[in-house]
Amino acid sequence: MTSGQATPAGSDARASGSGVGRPLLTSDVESFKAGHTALRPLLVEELGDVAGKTLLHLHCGRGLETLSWARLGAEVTGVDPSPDAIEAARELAAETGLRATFMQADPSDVERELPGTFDIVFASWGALAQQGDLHCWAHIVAHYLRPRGTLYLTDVHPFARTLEETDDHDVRVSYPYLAPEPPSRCDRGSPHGFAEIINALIEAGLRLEFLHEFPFAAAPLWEWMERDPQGWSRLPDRGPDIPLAYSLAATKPMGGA
Amino acid sequence: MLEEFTKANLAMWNELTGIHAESEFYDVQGFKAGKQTLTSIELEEIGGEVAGKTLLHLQCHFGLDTLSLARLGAVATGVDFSDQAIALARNLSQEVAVPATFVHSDVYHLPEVLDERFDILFTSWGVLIWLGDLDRWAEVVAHFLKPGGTFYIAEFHPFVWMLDDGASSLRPRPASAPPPADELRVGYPYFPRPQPLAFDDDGDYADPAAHVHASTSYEWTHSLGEIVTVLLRHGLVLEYLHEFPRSIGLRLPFIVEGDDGWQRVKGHEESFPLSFSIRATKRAGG
Repeated sequence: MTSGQATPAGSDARASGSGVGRPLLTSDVESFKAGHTALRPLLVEELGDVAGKTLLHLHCGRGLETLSWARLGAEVTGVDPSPDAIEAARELAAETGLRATFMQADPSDVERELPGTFDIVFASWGALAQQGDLHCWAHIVAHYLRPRGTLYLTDVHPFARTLEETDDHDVRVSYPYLAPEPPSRCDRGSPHGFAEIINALIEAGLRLEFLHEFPFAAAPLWEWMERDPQGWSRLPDRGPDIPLAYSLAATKPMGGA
Repeated sequence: MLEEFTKANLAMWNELTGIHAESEFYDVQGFKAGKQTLTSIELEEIGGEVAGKTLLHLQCHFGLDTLSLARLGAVATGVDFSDQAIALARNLSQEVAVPATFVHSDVYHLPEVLDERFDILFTSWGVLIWLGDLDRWAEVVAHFLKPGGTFYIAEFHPFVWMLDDGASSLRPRPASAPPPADELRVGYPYFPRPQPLAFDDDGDYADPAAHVHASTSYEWTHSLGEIVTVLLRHGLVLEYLHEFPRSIGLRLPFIVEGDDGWQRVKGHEESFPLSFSIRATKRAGG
């Protein structure tokens, strides 16, 4: 892997979630404290009304998105493996007076420590990047969803992860989309194509509701990308659009997983 | 406008039918001698369970796969918008004495001429780019499936159509430094658009020596997300999405063909997805 790959610049593998997918800026935190949301309108629109719902945020990083859902009325719990991120999230919750539970745990071990089920499981930018076998991750999602509960996942598009920047500020396919072998749990950093992501969720008992793709990303994948008025990072006008992000929703059927 | 595009595409497919009937790629002689025309992907994923089932094959071209499915025991109905293709399919069915029904219709109007429901809906290889209205396609798919019935598609991966074949005029290039020929860059749009892309190409994927007179075609791009989501929207439940680094019948400069007969992307032989398959079930309630 070289620095040219579509792993968001400045990624901090320990603070996953908003840490990996979206370099956290001081201005983001200040803006959040001032009452602004860290969630893009698209996410709020796609997930719908969260007021009064319980929401588990896997790989919550420093909790900006978690607390933004809390601000919209959700009862939120955030989980992240990084102790620093969780401490920062707790501080931010205290400072903003928002109710939230934050827990330091590797999402693959969280089952042992966190009881209950949730209306919504939420994961975003970079959540899958550190996962090896997605079956394990999908199993945890299914475990924490109540019947009829919804997983909402949004991340860098797996095609974008195959791309490397070129000298003329364009991109070329350089990295694998399909994993050479079924990845093992230790294979962190192996690619996850759509088939692998979606089938892991289906095999965990979830039902896919939609798969949406977007020609923009939450953070610049390469330095020369441009920020649009909504805050999305786009490729400078290059003709044909390239998919850079996706979102999907999956529900747990009534009968359970 | 849609009609104008369809008219041009129909002229091309009618002409291609004659060329394909003589081509090595389609190997009609081999088929007559009993050769199975489905690839190992469809054979392994659906071929084993079609016996005794009613099966509707959308965009069947001149029926080789339809009749191959019938040979596996399916009670098969093939549909195509090309009258030439359907005429040839009926002749082949008679000649090899494999019974199947062939209906001349485009996908969108099929509910007006066919009043039946099926256990399996099958479609494959190079069908979706000819459809401007994928939502209507999914609606038709759901319409013809019995509750609990199975939808199956094996198709070129939408990522392939994005890659620049060197002929794209859509990508701005700095005149001083054209990208190296062996680089995979994006030259065509990925996301669905209301307007098709126009191509003028007198060659043919099945016969490299052919010169097609009706050489203008109009093709629509469909993203993977769109394909999956239109099916879900019309009451199908996704059972799986598979992605494969191999395919058949592509005529693109970055494709290499292996000794096993499969095509792959040069330099990305095991890692770039060239095809996908989807299996989905119509909800019993819907």
